[in-house]
Amino acid sequence: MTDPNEEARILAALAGILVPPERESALAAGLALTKRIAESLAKVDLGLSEPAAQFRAPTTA
Amino acid sequence: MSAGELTALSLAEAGRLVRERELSPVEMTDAHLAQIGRLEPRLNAFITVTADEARRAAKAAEDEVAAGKHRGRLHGLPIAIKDLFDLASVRMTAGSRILADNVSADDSEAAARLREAGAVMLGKLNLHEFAFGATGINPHFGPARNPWDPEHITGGSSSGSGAAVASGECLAALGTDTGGSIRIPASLCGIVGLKPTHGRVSKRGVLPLSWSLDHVGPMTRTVEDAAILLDVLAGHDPSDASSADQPVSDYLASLKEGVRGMRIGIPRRFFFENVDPEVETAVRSAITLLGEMGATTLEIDVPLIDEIPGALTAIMLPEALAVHQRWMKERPDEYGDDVRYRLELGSTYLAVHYVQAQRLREMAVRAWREEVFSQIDLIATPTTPITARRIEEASSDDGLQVTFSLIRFTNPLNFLGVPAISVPCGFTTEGLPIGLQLAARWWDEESLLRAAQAYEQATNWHNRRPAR
Repeated sequence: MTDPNEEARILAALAGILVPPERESALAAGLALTKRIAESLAKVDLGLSEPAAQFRAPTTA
Repeated sequence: MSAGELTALSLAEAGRLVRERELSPVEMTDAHLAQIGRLEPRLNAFITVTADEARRAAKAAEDEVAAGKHRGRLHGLPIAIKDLFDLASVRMTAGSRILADNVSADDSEAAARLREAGAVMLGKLNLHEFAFGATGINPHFGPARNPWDPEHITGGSSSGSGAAVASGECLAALGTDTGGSIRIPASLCGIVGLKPTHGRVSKRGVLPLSWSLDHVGPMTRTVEDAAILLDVLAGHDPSDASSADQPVSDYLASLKEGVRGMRIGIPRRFFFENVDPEVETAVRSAITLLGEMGATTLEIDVPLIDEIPGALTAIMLPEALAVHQRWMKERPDEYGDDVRYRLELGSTYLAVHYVQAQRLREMAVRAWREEVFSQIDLIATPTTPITARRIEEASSDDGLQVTFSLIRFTNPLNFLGVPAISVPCGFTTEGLPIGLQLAARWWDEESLLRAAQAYEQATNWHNRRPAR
């Protein structure tokens, strides 16, 4: 199992930001929430839905 | 008219008096600048007051009136804007240290439209740093304080806008709303806050927080005033990629037609869960009143409501980090701790999460269109499940919980992009305001404003003023 602090540090580095050691554990705690959201999203059958290239409110209600 | 009476006027009343030459824009502006001078030490609603420029604009407006020229609905009326909008030659800090010395070269589209309609700009209003938070607690400029009790938060992120409008420091203000940032401070400060349909009002010249969720809208003391401002602000702007080329109504024309025949949906789930009892009582009473006034109320199911908040987070956080990536790399220590943390959290979402969330968004829009807005015209909920918390509580470790509570009922409507409004619907025994949230189908701000106006005029909540 990956160390959550290490995992958070790697993700932040991939996103181009540096997280100082004293902030890693808080970010790792937040990563747990991200994982819960990701799991919840993965459970939804999204069918044929496509992401809009840019969000547009529908023109017909 | 006394200074107190001048600062208590609605935008509609003041506009009529200026038009009929019964009210001087100079006198009006001076009264508001005096109110700012008197209340700011307590409320901290403004970051920058443009007093000299306001006096010059008021004098010009007065001269125009004398010459028989009337620029529009806002001629000579003092208005302020959140310090996230560009206003030419005025600093735009976004409530941050990073942009503390940033001066805008041009007006944002919204500010330009206000000026064109004759508004006198009083200055730039306090906000949660970079509009990224719901409490309004700002480590760089201090919190804006709630006029109903300065020991309490205003809510955010348009915190100064809420405080300034409620306290009579300006006749009306502009805010932005990414997860509730117009409606939350409106609810907590006892005023009206309107988030129009996504794409209805241009965002050009407004610093983004999350491109696909950001909205610009008015914050006022009455629904009619919100309609007046929407009339000025709405319309296609080719220079804003998210601005939609949709027909714009005359929002004042149908404002007083009432709610008879409207169908109002009350969500069975989610929107009434874990709500302060006083809030629930006030909102249920408001819904009963709307029913007594001729609307049909019915319970409805709201599709995908359990998934929407997470999906919104998976869109908002990465988009916000994308906006801030360079500063987060080069100047991370200049952010407040809470905003820096939210931006860091943006890095934990992968591209696949973002794409799935955007797919869910398309699916949710379709489901709400087919299953909700085919049956009803509006939905009614509390704007926030809680009222204004003490600044101390919102600044502590419990602050995150306060934030989660504040955004719970507003942010699904940003995700969907539908128009939504908060109107005052009561007060707690402590004397803190409570807000009713109404939402309509996309582009139907007319029905939204009509229902909000009907409710407001049947009650007296909007006439209450905080002690000044």
